[in-house]
Amino acid sequence: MNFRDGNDEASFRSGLRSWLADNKPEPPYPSNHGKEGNVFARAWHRKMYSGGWLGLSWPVEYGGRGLSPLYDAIVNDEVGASGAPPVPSVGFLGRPILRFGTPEQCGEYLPPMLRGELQWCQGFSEPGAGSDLASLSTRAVLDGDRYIVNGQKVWTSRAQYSDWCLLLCRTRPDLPKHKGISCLVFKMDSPGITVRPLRQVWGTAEFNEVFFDDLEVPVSQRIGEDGDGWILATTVLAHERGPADIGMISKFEVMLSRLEAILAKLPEQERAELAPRVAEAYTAVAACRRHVLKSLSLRAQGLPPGPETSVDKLLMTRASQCLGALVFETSASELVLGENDDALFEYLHSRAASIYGGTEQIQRTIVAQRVLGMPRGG
Amino acid sequence: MDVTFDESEVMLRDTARRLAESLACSSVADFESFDREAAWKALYSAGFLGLRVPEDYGGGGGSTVDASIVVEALGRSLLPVPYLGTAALAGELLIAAGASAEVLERLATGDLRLAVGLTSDLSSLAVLGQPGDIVSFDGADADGVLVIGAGRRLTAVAPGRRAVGLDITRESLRGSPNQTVDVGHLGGELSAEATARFYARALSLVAADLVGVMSAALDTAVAYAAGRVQFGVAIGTFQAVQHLAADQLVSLEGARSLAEYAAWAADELETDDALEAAYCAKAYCTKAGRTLCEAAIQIHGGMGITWDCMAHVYLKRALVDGLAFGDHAYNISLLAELRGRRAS
Ligand SMILES: Cc1cc2nc3c(=O)[nH]c(=O)nc-3n(C[C@H](O)[C@H](O)[C@H](O)COP(=O)(O)OP(=O)(O)OC[C@H]3O[C@@H](n4cnc5c(N)ncnc54)[C@H](O)[C@@H]3O)c2cc1C
Repeated sequence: MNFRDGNDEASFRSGLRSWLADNKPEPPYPSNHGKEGNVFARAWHRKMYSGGWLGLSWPVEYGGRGLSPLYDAIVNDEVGASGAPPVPSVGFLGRPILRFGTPEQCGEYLPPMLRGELQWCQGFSEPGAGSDLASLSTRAVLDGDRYIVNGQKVWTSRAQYSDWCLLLCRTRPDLPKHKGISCLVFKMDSPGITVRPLRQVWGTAEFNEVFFDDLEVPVSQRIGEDGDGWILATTVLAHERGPADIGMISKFEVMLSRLEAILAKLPEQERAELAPRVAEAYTAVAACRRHVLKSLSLRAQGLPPGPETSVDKLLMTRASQCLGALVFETSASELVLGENDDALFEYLHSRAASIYGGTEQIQRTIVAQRVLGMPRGG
Repeated sequence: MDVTFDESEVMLRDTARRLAESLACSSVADFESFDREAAWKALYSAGFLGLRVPEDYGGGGGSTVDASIVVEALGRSLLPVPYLGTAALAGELLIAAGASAEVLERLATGDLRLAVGLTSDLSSLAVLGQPGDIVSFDGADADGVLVIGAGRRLTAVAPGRRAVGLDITRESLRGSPNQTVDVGHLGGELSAEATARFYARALSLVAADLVGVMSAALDTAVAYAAGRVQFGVAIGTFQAVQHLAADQLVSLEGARSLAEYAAWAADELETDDALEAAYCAKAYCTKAGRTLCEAAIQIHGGMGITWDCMAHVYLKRALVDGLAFGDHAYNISLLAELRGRRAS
């Protein structure tokens, strides 16, 4: 067991640290919601990529650096400690392309995704298929060398800004529900797509309804075989649930240092009351961070992420909601007066942590049945 | 960086687990008739007693991570031997104080057994002359109890009344501050740095015992849930039971990750970083340990409230571990104070 950087890791870390000192954007940063936030996040993504700090654990031929996944943890640590904007969630949608796509598909889709030139959205959830994702009904009918897609997706984050979509759809309604799903990718400006933004609890619209009316997708844009959709979806979700993949750890570190800074300025009495709660949040973040490091170590040894990433996701949810509650409490009067949009977003977004990427209840069921091996009901 | 166990750590873990399982009590009644001497000899033969004692003094020269691996394995099997108290913790304290080669050699052979004296709330090392009882945790069979005496040098006092208290797998005992015993040269002044290091190691070792106890308690509950049938199905198929168990696994995984990091940090990092990791681990493991063991009782239903069911044995060991070197609130406040001090 060794938590210390090797030589390469250490020089990577110090290089990143000095790069951040020179390249960190001037605060304040827009929170990652709404149009302005999206523009800002994309610019930060491209900047970090061109500095050589993103897509680290991806193959070199597709624009990555071929490094161990542990470098993702270093990036999260350093970005978090520097107070820079959070690490962009690079490419969890690219993982299934890498695993199931042809070399041509990988070569076409992955490099611009990693570079942050083209933005992707995840078309999984539907009005009738949330937790029960496998019951999705968006239909794709094969017609010669193309599919014709009809149906609707919902909660599709950043669809209104995206260039491409990774879609789960039903190609074989005659097969059992998990077996008849396939995965298609297409440009969001193709004819037959309507995007309708949904206003969220914090006021701006990040996710959307997306409608498909006779959208045409060439068969060459199917990822994997017909029927591979379900296993492909689990690949996406396993990565989406790994907090390092989506930059959450860096976000937590920033929130924590902000809370500690607030704490330091409080009068003695109030500080004494709040300090234990902030320390408790620290332990929740530390547990998440250390566990993620273990998961990444296993991945570095060649084990792909499996059901145990749900443990990471649940630790992340706990940390997120512990911090979110404190953000609310330490800025309550500003929130009442509508004076702190960032705090409003952080608190409310922490409530979504137990919903997106599969709800807390679904993660617990995965942990119980697939990690602890508890029996399934009849 | 690779934060999983390396080959030799995996080997040590497997050896320790096998040994602990071979010695473990299979029922609650077994704890009363346990042959502690035989078990102690087996731990000696495995080289565990002086695991952390330098090789020059006949020890194993192991790391704190190694010691925590053994402690966790023994905790997992609820082994009713005072390994944590009189081998691991006492060893750390003697090494920190610079005890003589002879004392360390006798510790490594199991010839000399000393307990660590704590304040009556079990939070800190007892200081001779200060009011309050001296309580040693997990001090069965000790020849003396180590306390901090004049000039911050270690002194051994006579062990007082022994008691199997709350925790039926281990004994606690009171020290008699008025009666010192000569057990050899116990080293020089315990510096602030050495004391801090000792605490970092002690906290991480107690956290390791908690992790061991937690993992076994959860295994027991999950196994029970697979076998117990109600409404015509195993209770483990009920979502309420599954989610309760899943939450405990999440806490256990968090606890384990923090305890492992603390054990590593205790040897490898600057004192403040080591302490930060140790307070964090101890606070988290204490809270998670109690919650998990209570949930394990819940999953056993009425069976969990019977003396013969192992569930309470886990809970009680976890509760006593939770108090040793400070409870949850105590370690949280130390963590808050340290973070505050470091930020300013
Ligand atoms: C901020 C945000 C961004 C998102 N972004 C995307 C995106 O980009 N792309 C995308 O495809 N999706 C996205 N989602 C959708 C997300 O994956 C779903 O919301 C989630 O899977 C839950 O589905 P649902 O909303 O239909 O809730 P439901 O499935 O209706 O669940 C409602 C409640 O019932 C509980 N429940 C349901 N089934 C069970 C069960 N079997 N056992 C116990 N409890 C159960 C749930 O836990 C929940 O509490 C996003 C969601 C949010 C909040």
